[in-house]
Amino acid sequence: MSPQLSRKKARRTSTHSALLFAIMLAAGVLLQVTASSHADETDIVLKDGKGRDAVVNNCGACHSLDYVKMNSPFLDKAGWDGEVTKMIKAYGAPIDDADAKEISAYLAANYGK
Amino acid sequence: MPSAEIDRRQLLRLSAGGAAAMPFLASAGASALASQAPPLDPRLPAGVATEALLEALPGKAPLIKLAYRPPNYEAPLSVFKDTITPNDQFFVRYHLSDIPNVNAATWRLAVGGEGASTPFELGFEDLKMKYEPVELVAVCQCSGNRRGLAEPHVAGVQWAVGAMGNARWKGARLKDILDKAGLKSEAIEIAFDGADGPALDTTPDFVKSLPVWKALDPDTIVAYEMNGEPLPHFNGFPARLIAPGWTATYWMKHLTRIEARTKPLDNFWMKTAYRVPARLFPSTQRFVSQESPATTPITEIMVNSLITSPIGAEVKVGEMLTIEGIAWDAGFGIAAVEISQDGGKSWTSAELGPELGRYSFRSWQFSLGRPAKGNLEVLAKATNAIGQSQPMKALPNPAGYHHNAVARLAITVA
Repeated sequence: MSPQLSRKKARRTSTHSALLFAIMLAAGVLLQVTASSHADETDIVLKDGKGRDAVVNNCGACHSLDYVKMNSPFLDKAGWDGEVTKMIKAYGAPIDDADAKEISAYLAANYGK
Repeated sequence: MPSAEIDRRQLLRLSAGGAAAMPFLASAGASALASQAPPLDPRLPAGVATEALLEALPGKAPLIKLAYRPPNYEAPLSVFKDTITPNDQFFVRYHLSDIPNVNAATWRLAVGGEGASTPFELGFEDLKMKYEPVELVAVCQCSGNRRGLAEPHVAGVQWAVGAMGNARWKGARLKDILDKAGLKSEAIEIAFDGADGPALDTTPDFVKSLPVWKALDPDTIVAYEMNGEPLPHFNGFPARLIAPGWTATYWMKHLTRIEARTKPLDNFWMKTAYRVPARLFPSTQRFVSQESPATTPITEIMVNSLITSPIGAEVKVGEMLTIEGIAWDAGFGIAAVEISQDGGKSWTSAELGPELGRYSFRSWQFSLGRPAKGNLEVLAKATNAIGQSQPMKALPNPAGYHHNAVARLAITVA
């Protein structure tokens, strides 16, 4: 059974593409369609504000940003804090403390209730 | 953002809507067609309306796009007029965004683990040729279907009613595969992994387990056909697990590994996600090795119903009106669907349609005769063969699972 796992793992070692994606997204670059990402997500526009870049660069590495807008506006600051903490603790998102604070402040201010 | 962004978005809406309305014209210049956003339930969070689009993934018909990456697309209500859900309109749900295209010719399924004495691998032809094929119709329903209707709202994919589908699955019994692997008596859980994985190595891979008793149920199968066709890529090609009666979290797509375990699977997807407060729901099927005093893993689907017609909700006075819908449960069987026109004070039985199998949607209909001018609200409530029925309000729980409140439809007769 290890061949399956190692193949899957090997495929993932090149997933700096996710981070690259976030950078390209931030730069407004249109991506080609691939099996795992969809070019049309570059149409998603988050509200202007302090912390938006931190959201795009960090959150956008693993998921499209429609997740943010879809989950609004019903979470309060504590609710968004909880989501950011979940992404770091449960989903292993490599977000530093300063960015985490900026992200939840931005989400609460722009997509909170 | 520059206006070019908006133009592109409008174009997207235009082509998606056109494809939904007129599939034959979709590739031949959608620009002349009217823009069409999907019809959305007003109870959804307001943010859904800004993002939801009718859009087609490769190989699929236009569905309601809730999230691009990982892809989460639900079926519009109109899809459920058919008791069997067409493959191209079957909902799409992924947790993780690294989704490879699997080649059936090179695909291998590894079967082993500490709880198996004779581990082995099999290929796609082996799966089809070496095991007795079985077919059954079963509902695949996301645990969080209708989460978007939860009051108060809870975080997650904000599904309305379409994170489910009903298909005829053909495959090999998981029991037969496990027999070949020499399942030991110490085995307590069977774990399943699929080819899809996380974008980052630090994110827990999506691996799920079933209790051995459910894995050995003769209706639990490794399916390689869906409605007589190969599985669509976005529904788990080349093979996925079918755990009839249980919510879709266990129906692992793009199956690559089956592991007989002598210890409970300890990962985020079992220990933290997909759990419900203990004793909140009237579940009868238990997953003892994963239970804790406070919470239990979600197991079987709660009895439920949906009104599928009329959709327009406005009818002409003097015309005959028939309410149609579907009902389903975990496989005990639908015993009755009842309709109320007085807010739930009195109920009258609807007529049940043909039974396609105990795990299937069951169609039903009810004639309202020629209703008088005015507004009315119709409620539909299903009851299963063990006497469970739908609550008037969904039972709140942290992740918004098991939303099975009675179906409601407001109708204007004018």
